[in-house]
Amino acid sequence: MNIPSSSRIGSTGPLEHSPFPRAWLQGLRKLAIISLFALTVGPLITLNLGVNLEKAGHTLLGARMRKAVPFLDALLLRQQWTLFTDISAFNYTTHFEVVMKDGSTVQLHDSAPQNATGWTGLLFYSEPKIRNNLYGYPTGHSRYLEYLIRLNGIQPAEVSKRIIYIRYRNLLPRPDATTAGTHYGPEIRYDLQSY
Amino acid sequence: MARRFATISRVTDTVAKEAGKTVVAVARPQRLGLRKALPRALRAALARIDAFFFASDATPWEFIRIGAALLVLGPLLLSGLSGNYERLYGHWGSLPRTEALDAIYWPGFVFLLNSDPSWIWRIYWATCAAALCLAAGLWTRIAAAATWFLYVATIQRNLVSFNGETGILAFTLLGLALAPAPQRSSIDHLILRRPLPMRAEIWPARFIQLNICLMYFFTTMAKLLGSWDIGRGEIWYQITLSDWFRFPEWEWLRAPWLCWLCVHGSLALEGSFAFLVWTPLRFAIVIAMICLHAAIAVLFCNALVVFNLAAIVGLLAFLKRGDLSRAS
Repeated sequence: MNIPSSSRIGSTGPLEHSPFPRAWLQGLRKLAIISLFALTVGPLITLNLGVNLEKAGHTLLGARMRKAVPFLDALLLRQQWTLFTDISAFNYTTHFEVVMKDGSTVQLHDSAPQNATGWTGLLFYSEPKIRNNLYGYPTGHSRYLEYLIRLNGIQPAEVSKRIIYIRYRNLLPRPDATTAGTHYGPEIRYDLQSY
Repeated sequence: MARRFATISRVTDTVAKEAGKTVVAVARPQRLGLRKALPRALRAALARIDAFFFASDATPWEFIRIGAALLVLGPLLLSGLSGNYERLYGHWGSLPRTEALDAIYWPGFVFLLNSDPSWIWRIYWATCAAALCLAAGLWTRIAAAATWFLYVATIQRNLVSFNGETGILAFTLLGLALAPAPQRSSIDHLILRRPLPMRAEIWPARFIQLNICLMYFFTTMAKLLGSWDIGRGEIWYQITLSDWFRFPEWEWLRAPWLCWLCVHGSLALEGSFAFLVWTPLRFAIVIAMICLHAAIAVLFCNALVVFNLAAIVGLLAFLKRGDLSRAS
């Protein structure tokens, strides 16, 4: 590889005492660095192309390109970049409820954010994102419900039914909002999971 | 194609045989020219690659280092204070240790090594210490590598806590672990008297830069293919009504012309960033992007503040020492 004079490393260093020609070692080092770039950036490009191809309707090719690369996935170096791409057309709050064997219903509360009172927005600043992550991840949602059961001091054996639901209000499109005189639709309950 | 190539070769051979030495005399310089041109083009390409990855580095690493360290440390302290750390990563948290064994990637196993519930607090303090060392520039490289790994391990322990800033911080911290050290404003240099590197190469900054470019490029692509209604900009109307928006009562922010401007302006900026940042417009587009992120941080709820700060820290990798003095 052509090495411009400006990019030569100073004369001191481990390469100075090597039995191999200095230029070879420098070339090898550069090749290793560029290979590392290719190994990390390549799968990132492939994944994101796959995601967008799937969006464009090429599901088979897209799925093939999205194949996991465990080493990079584990180190969070293969991100799917879709920041702010999907905006939900409604505002919602998530609720957790259990029906006990005696027929009574208990609303489950998370004491940590509740105890933060006026500081919730700062101390639990990432809560809306966690809520969104859970919304798109049913297994995580049910795990969180089990955590709340433990936290609320309820015996799991006493529970006959678990319900995860959201309360949401649609955001009305501009013409509908003008007619209705408000930007928000009525509050509706929707059960996400009931088991 | 192969048949066509064979036909051309055959015709050329026949013509050459018929014309004898004259043709050979004309053809040789052409072949030699091609032989010379190819290595020359290859050499030029290699020189460009060399200049791109191994040119001298003038990145203001101090700002990136301190910014990234504080963005790890701040949320960590908040989550420790609030009980959110235990809630997300504790042995009896929302992903219990027994279930985590089958559900997480290997960096998160650091949290599962010990069944003692107080184990997670040792990791907590180790992460705080590593981030603090990184912010102060003490044993910079080791601190950056430790912060990066412990941060990734924490997020992997419960992926529910994963979000936009996590992705940016992951590659920024790795870039910092590879970056030239010690840096000017660091304990390593100022107190421990370690000399600054004689000549630093730019490739660690390029790692962050390429990741940032890909982030904006693919986000724009996803928006163009997704629900962002290009042409009308009504998605901004919805955004200002979402409970993530700080000022839903400001009706003027939903004026149709402003919706159009916000949507198309941000898309144009994001979409062109990956291309314009390599041109002489670099400084202008980086500053414009930093302003966009600052505006988002102000307009939206706290959930987006850390993300936007992380993006700003990542964008600093495109700046060069002396950029600000030149601009003023």
